[in-house]
Amino acid sequence: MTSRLARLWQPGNPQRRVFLPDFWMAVIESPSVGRNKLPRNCVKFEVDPRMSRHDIREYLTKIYDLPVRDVRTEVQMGDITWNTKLDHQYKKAMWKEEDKKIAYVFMSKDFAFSFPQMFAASEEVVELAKMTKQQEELKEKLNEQYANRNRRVGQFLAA
Amino acid sequence: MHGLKRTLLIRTVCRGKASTAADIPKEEVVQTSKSEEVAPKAANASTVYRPPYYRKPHKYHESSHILQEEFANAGDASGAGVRLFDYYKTAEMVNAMPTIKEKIDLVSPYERPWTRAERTWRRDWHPTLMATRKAWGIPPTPAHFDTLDYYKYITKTRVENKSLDDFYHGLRPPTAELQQSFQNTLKSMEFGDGITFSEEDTQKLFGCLIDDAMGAIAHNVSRLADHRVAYDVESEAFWVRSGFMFLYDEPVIGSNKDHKRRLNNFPKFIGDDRRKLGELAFVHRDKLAAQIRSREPPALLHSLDSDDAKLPVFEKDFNIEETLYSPKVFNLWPDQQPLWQCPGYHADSGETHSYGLLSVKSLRPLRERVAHWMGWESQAELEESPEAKQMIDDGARSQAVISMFTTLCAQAHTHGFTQYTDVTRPFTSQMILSDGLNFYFAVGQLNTLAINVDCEGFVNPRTNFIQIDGPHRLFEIVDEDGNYTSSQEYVDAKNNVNRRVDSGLNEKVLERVTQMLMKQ
Repeated sequence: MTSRLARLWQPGNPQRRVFLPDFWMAVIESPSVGRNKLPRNCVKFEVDPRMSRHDIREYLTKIYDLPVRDVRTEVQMGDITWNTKLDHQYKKAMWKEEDKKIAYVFMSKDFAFSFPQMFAASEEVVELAKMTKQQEELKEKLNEQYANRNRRVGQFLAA
Repeated sequence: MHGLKRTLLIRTVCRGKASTAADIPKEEVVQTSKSEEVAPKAANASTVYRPPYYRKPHKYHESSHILQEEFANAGDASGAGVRLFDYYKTAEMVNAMPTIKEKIDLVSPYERPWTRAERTWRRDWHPTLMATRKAWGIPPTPAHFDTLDYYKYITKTRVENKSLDDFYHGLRPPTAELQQSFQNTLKSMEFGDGITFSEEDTQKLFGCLIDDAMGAIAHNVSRLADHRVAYDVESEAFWVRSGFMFLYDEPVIGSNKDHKRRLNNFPKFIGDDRRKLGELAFVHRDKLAAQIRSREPPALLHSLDSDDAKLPVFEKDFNIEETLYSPKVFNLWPDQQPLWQCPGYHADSGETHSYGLLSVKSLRPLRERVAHWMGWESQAELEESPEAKQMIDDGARSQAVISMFTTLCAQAHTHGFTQYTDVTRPFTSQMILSDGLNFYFAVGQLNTLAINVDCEGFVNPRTNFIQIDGPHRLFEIVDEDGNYTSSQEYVDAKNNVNRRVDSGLNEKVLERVTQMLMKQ
């Protein structure tokens, strides 16, 4: 539960308690269409595989004060790399990824969750791009003013 | 019928003949249904037209050139032609079945799992063993707190939350005797305030309630002598609901289109037909505390042709996309067991009392679930929190929708109607749902069963209907001696609704139970 080493327990000591478990939870995005689509009041997390449903509920209600109503968990098996994938009879596993625990947390009905747009262009960058584009256009216009249009190149050619 | 055999049969049908009634000589039809000696019309007879085997029931690929786009084959344009052909062909076969048991078995979506031998001895040159069809099992009590709209959709039921006073207008049965006897029952079962009463005892209590109510009015209502009362009844039904094609959508990354429908090289969704039609099978295995059945059907709410039978399930501005999700979201689980249609009796049991007049269903487990969802260890706070009350209310209404549909669907099947041969007369039933403290009363009518096909050219505006009245509290307070006090609504001379506190149980509840027994 915790990465801290507990003091060696001796008779008469109080029960060992963990006040800050090193559990973690990460929000995962779920698709907006298809069979894995989730309602707005449902948030999908990848959680520490040691966490139980009760732990997840406690984590979100006690620390973040969220209106958790139902928690469902699922363990997704990690991918296996085979030496010969298609040979079903003699294939051997070379490597297996770690299993993942996914939690589907249903909040109260009026709760709406939308996944944060982390990689959307920031406002500054957009403004800067606009400015650069405008300057480029201005530069061309400015040059236009100084361009010599009276050279009468055609006349020589025609002559 | 086994799944494999059925699949083969259906396959034969898909590749079979399409014929209209006009094509078939009359004697032949009669003979086919009479005996098996006369061979049925061969699928390869020269007179019949059938869609080629390579026609798909949906538009399965994007057109690769302009000719395909502009001059699409009429049969392939939407895929509806093949789907409808299959639907009406199945209907024809259902009609040809001599017994009701066989009709039910024919339309059952159940496919048995592959046996061990089949799995062991399959070789790479054999066709792959596609997952057999399972139905999504709807739990006897909602396992999710927001199921009402979803249950309305999968049963195509319009819900009206309104008092049933008008429906039982003119029936004023005496309740003094029932008041006395039911109070005695509660005391003898040590009901107390009912908070910690168990599910098993609640079932027994409802059986006693029906007995007490019948005993109280039996001397006046001779019709009751002919009714049949059953306790701890199994009410099971399966059905197929269409409109789940969105399960094959997939988001497209790096494109303007937000999603794409994938039907090739994409796994079939559990419960769907092997052709990926977006038609999921559902099953509800319900347990009723008590059921009263009669020989005669109860009175109808409206006829099949009336406008009431065609009112839409949802409001116009209702966004169905925010309700339709995978059944897993609503905590439904695949059910692998064989499927039955059993409205309290089996189709081949020779039951004479085949119309369910009144069913009583216990909602006791719902209280425990709601307490769990709210994160409480005890159920004591349930009555105080508005959100918990709302959850119980929603759960009770969704259960009413699904229980009513199950019992009526099974009843319609045992009368020979199926999803392929839709009902020609409506089926009606009444229901009491309660956790022992709060009572809901419902009246429902089955107007259509053909909710399994949703494609171009198939028009079915009829919807099922249920009217739910409640909750009515059985009592407000119980003292140490076990005496109950309840608050009652009454209408004064000026037609205002007032409340007064009376000793004893809620008259309204007892009166409604008796009215339900008396209603013809």
